[in-house]
Amino acid sequence: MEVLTRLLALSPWEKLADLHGLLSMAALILLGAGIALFFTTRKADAMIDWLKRVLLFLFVDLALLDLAGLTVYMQYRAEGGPRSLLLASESTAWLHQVVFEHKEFLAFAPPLIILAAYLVTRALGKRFNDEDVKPLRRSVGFALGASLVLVLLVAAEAVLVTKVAPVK
Amino acid sequence: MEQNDTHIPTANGALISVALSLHVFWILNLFKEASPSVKEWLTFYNPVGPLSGLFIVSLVAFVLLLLVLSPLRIKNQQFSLWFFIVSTVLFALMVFPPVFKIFVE
Repeated sequence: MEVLTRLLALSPWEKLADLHGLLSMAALILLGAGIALFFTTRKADAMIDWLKRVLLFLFVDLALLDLAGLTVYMQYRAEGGPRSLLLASESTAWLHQVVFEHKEFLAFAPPLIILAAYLVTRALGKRFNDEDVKPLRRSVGFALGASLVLVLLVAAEAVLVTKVAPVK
Repeated sequence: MEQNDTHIPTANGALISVALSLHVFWILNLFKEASPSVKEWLTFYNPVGPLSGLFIVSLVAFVLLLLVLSPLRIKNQQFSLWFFIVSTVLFALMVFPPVFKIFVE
């Protein structure tokens, strides 16, 4: 009960930052499912529909993740917020100028890359495993792998920054 | 077969539109870093700063590119795949501050 009371006592910005983290965890789970399904489609055509569904869910999750991130970013860059705190000291300024900036820019790519993978999978339909569309099939595999790397990188950079200056 | 062949250019168009919008993002970011007036123009919403403009302009570019590329019916799958891969890698590099600051300075 105390846990619940303390969770409810968190500020709205802290709750939103937690939701942002939750959405990124969901993205990692869906990326794992997507990669597993991508390889399974070679054995069973029926899995193509499941891959398409997972890619659509993943796109929605990543879009919401970016939206939540941009909302939390308002508090991050507000006067007296974590950005001011980081820039105030020479030893922590790089965390904003390099790490956080990179994280914010990188976050743009995963939803779009996954949207491309979804559109390719939807366009190919049952022909997904055909030899004559192999390059397009490979683009879906690349999209899943690249998004996984980018989401992991963004998450690692976020942890690095929020350990020093959390959003409150 | 005819119906599926119609769908290959759609898939190619999606890959190239996404790749080009990633280029729009990092090139616009270079201009933003180099010019205070571009930075100001990109500040569509003050609490988010120029990042709001970067996201919105690049997303609008994606939608427009998708509409423009559809009638072109791009058939070359190898080109689409490699353009998509190279663009994604280049994007990840060009939004890294120590890299893009070399071009700005």
